[in-house]
Amino acid sequence: MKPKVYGPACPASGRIGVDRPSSSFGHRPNLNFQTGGKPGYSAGVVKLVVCGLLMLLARLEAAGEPRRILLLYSFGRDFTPFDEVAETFRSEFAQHYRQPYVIQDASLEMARFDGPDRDGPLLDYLRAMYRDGPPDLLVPIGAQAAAFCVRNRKALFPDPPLLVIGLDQRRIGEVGPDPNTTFVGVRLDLAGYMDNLLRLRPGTRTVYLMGGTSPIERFWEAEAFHDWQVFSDRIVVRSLSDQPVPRMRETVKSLPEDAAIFLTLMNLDAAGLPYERESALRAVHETSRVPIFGSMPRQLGLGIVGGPLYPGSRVGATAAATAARILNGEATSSIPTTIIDEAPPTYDWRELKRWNIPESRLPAGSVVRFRPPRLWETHGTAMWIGLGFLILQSVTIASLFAARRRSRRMARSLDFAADVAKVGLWWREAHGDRLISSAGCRRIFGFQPDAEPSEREMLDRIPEDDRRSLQQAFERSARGNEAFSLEHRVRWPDGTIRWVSTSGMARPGRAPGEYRTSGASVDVSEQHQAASLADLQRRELAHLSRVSSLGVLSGALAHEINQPLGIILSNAQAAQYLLEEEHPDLDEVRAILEDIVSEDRRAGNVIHRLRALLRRGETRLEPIDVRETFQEVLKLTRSELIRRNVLADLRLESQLPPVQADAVQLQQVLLNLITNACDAMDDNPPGQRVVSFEARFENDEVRLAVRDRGVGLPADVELLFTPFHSSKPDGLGMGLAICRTLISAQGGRLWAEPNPDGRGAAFHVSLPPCSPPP
Amino acid sequence: MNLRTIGLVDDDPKMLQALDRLLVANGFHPRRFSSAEDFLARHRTEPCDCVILDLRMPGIDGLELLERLRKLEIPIPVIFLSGEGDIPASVRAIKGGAVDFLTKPVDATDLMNALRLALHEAAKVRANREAADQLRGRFATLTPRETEVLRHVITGKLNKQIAADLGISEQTVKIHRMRLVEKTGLPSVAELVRAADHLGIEPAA
Repeated sequence: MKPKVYGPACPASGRIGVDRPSSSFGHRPNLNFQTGGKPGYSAGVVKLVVCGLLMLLARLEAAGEPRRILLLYSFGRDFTPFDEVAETFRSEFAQHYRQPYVIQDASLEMARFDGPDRDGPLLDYLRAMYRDGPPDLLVPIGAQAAAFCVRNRKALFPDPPLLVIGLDQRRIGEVGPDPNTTFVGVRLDLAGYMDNLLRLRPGTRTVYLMGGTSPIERFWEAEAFHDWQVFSDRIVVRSLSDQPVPRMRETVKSLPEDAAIFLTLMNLDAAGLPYERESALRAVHETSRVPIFGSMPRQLGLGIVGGPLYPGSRVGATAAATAARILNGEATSSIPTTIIDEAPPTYDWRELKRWNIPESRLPAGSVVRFRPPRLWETHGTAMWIGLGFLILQSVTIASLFAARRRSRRMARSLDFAADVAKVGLWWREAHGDRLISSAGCRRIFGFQPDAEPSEREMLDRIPEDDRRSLQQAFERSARGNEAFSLEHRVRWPDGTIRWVSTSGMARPGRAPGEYRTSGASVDVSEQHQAASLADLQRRELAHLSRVSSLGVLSGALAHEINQPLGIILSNAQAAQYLLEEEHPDLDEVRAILEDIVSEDRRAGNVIHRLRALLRRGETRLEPIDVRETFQEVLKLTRSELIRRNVLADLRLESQLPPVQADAVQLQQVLLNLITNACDAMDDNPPGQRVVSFEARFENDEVRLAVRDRGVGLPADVELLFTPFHSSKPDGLGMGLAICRTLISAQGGRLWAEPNPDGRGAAFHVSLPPCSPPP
Repeated sequence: MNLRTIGLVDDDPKMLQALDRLLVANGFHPRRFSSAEDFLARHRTEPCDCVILDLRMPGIDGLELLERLRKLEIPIPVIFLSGEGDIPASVRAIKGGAVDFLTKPVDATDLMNALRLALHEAAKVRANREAADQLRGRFATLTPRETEVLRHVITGKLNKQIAADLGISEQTVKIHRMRLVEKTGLPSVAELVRAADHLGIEPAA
């Protein structure tokens, strides 16, 4: 069976290799062929391939047959620990050797058996395989393979150099010194394994050795017993190796807690069954209630705790380099034996956890593997989402903090602004007596700014009447869900009475009668004083104005009074004459007396009206029917209108809501407007002197108008309302100014407009209607 | 004396009634008018010897009525009754020929005194008017030639001058003048002059 051979396509191109996998193991030797070179890319580049083929041909001619290396396994290819050694050798060798080569392998399956002619079949096979000539290099892996070569070298392949790899330094002597032989060995420190075991499990009292029954396995077990004698004061060493694996599984279930298992090599159990790929370890590990230690890299991850490990890959790598040197022509005698130290202690994180071994017990420079993949690796997306949430949350929290800081700053600014504006802020939750108030608020209520008055203490400063009003305002506000505004007094401890305007909002609390309230209070005492002064002045002025209006009307007013008086007198004297007669007509006398009484009343009413107008009273707002007010004024001015030949034209809507006003002041205003209207028409011919009196409800207000057909308004209408401006030679110029003040005080407006047809003017008064009763 | 009809002009019916009662009690015959216009409309058919006017009334007021009466040459005496002591108005009233200017409330005595005065005035007016009527009646009997001569006589001319002016003999002038005296009953030239003036007969040019 001649292997097909492929060389490198070109020096720079990759390896075009065929690695024919072995389909089965069994007892049939395995062969594996491999060519060297580097991985390449041929598919896309036809030219390169053509060129490569040409070069390959050239190379084959130059180099002749590829060099052949025979890897000889002590067990099968897949048995620990040499599988790793061989694997590394294969991959590393390609790095070191650039000539065409073939790695062929065979294993000493039969080495598992002890028998008289155990080498025979393999020898036959190898002879058949190499009948054309021996391999260029013979590489036995492990002591068994080395021993096979020593035993049969002369008979089989006396010439090719021997590169013995993977065996412990203490077994090198079994092969013996030979110039055509070199070694890449290892230094296995069995005592070091026990050191490791005891360091990790200081309480261990018994160590069970678990191993196979093949010679190498027996060898190692014996070595362990030997080397661990130094620990006899601390531990007892026992062997499980005489038990087949199924029994081992049972045994390890009931081992004491202070025991530990050390797995040497376990390829062939006591029942003679092979266990590849550490399947024995897996089986025992499943049931063991004590930790299993071991030294093979392959075992790590399958159940051993870990420690110093057999340096399989480094042996393979070093051997590959050495093999390349030999094939390149170096003499084996000139290549010294290489001893590889154990790999740095390496542990299985899961086992450490399982047996509660803290990582602090591991020696320096240890490697811990099989840590659970970090969350990142398993739940990357979820983690990203989570992280996103975290960031969002953090941002939110940060912004909340910022907002809180801002709001604190705002609150401080607000406090400051409120203080500057002399506004006091306060609020209270529904329950409890705790009132939160700004310093300005406490000042308004006569407390020290740093005092913390309760709500009761604050309310106690408000006189009882006002307190009741405030309470009612709270209730109304809570019911109607609307703000309230109220002026009330505050009595300071020294007896000073302050006027405070409080505005706020109340919301119902949990229990009836409880409110959450908040609001602002302002001390308006100064304004109050100023307002009352202004009010007094306005009243004085209004009074003066009324007196002067009435002065203008005095002639007419005298007529109004003298008329009934005249009637009374004439009637009375007529009665006197009648009664002097012999037979007085008593019916006539009775009629006369009736007239006298009614005329007396008439005179009295006139005087009453005059007195009302002349009274120096306070402004009193009350619901007023403007039609009545008009009528009253007309009664007073009737004579004046007659005297001045002015016709009155009444246009009063019958359905007018009452207005909130002071009757006397409204009369005064109308009186003034009527007088002005008459004055404006002095130059009109007698038939064209008409004053219209209008009253109507429009745009939610009651509008009164006094319209004349006179000379009209000046260009600057507002001048009329300016104090001390008069168009009359004897006028004081205060009339309209005072009228406007009076109307404004009642929440109304007073203005003048020219008539639409350009003749004459109209003076309008608008007044708010009484709010409908709640 | 039958001068007892008194006109009352006032826009206040109560006032009219009160004055009515007072006048009736004092033996007068009042006649009520509710406005100046009312009086102007009815005074011919319902004549009054005197009128008491309210000064201030809608429409035509008292002063204006007085002025109209004077324009219409209705020589009725007027008493003003005013609700106010308005001096400018009273001055205007007296100038306009009012008998008196009284203010309300007016005492009956004052009113009666004023009425007596007014009626005395009225009587005088009436007498004058009757004399004038007589005279006018007598003058109405004059022939045109006699009237012509009269117009010359009242200029104070001598008979000779009149004869020359009229182109007639002096004798004829004398006869006409004799007839004049007979018909008018006025012997003196002075009386003739006054009567002619009163009757509106113009002197010859």
